Amino acid sequence: MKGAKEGSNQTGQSISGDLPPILADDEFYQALASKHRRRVLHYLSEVERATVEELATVLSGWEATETGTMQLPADREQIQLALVHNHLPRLADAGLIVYESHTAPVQLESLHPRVMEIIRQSVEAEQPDDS
Amino acid sequence: MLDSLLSDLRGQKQRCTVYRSGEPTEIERWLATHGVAIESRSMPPGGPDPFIELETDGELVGIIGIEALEALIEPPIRRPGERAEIAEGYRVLFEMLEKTVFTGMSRRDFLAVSREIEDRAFRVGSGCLQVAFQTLSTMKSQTSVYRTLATETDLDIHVYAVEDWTPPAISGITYHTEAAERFEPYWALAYDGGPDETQACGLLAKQHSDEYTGFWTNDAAHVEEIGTALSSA
Repeated sequence: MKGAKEGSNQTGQSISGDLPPILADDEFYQALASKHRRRVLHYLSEVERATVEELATVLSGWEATETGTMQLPADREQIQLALVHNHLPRLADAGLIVYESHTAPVQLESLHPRVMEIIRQSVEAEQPDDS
Repeated sequence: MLDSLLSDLRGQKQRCTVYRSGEPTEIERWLATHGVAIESRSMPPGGPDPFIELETDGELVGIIGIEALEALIEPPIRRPGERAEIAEGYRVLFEMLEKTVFTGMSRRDFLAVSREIEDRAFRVGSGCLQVAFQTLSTMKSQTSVYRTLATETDLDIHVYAVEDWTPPAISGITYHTEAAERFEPYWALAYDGGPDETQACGLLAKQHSDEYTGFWTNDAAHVEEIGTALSSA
């Protein structure tokens, strides 16, 4: 169903010489220098917009699947604070998301397919190999 | 009173949200077909394994991987020894699941839980075990189990059922057949835990044609409510 996202689409050839300027931007790499931030972008690539609480739930759940333990309300609260005070402002400064306040939904900026690809690969690379 | 206990618990708003990239998980389908409000959110492929967010009355209870949850909730009632090793967070999760009223349950589901309760009463060996059997003939196939429970322990056993069969007199078992009609749709067990309240456990189910709606619990206060409802007949 999501087949259109797989592989190279019609833009695949034409962008080879057309690299988005953000890839030369230090702030972009600083924004990606955190597992939590890469995961936020990865999730937003599916849903496009989400509340801060939902993002905190996703990050908590992600950890829960890695540790095999349950994440409690205090754990999510801690992640939510880190999102509000650190991760989301950084992603917004790098031009990757729209983030106005902790009560407004977080929205993914319209990003170049090459940037989306880097985000996707960065997250997939950290997942344990099931095979 | 049994009815109000069931509807009180049903009034609690349990909400589960599953986050996953693929097909609905087995437990998600099970919860959905047993009357638990469940939603799902789509994760992009390449992310984490499926996980579930559990809320009661709008408050987060916990977030746990589906795989870990499935391992935890089978069998329905954990043995007390295992419970002691379970972290506080899991206790909250169990409390939530224990107070969840499941619909569309089969006789077999609740029979398995009944066995757990009888088994625990047997191992503790004292205290009060109250059982509503719907009709006395239902007890027929369980007579040897109850004879063992009554004669090999100090348990005080009370059986509530409509009299459609004459059970053997067994020392330690008191039969209550008067006014038992009002319990006829219910399958209920209440064991007070004897000297140790943490061993209390019970179940309450109501029959609708071939299916049952009900819950099981290790919560001493809920067990007491079931017991009081039965003995106030």
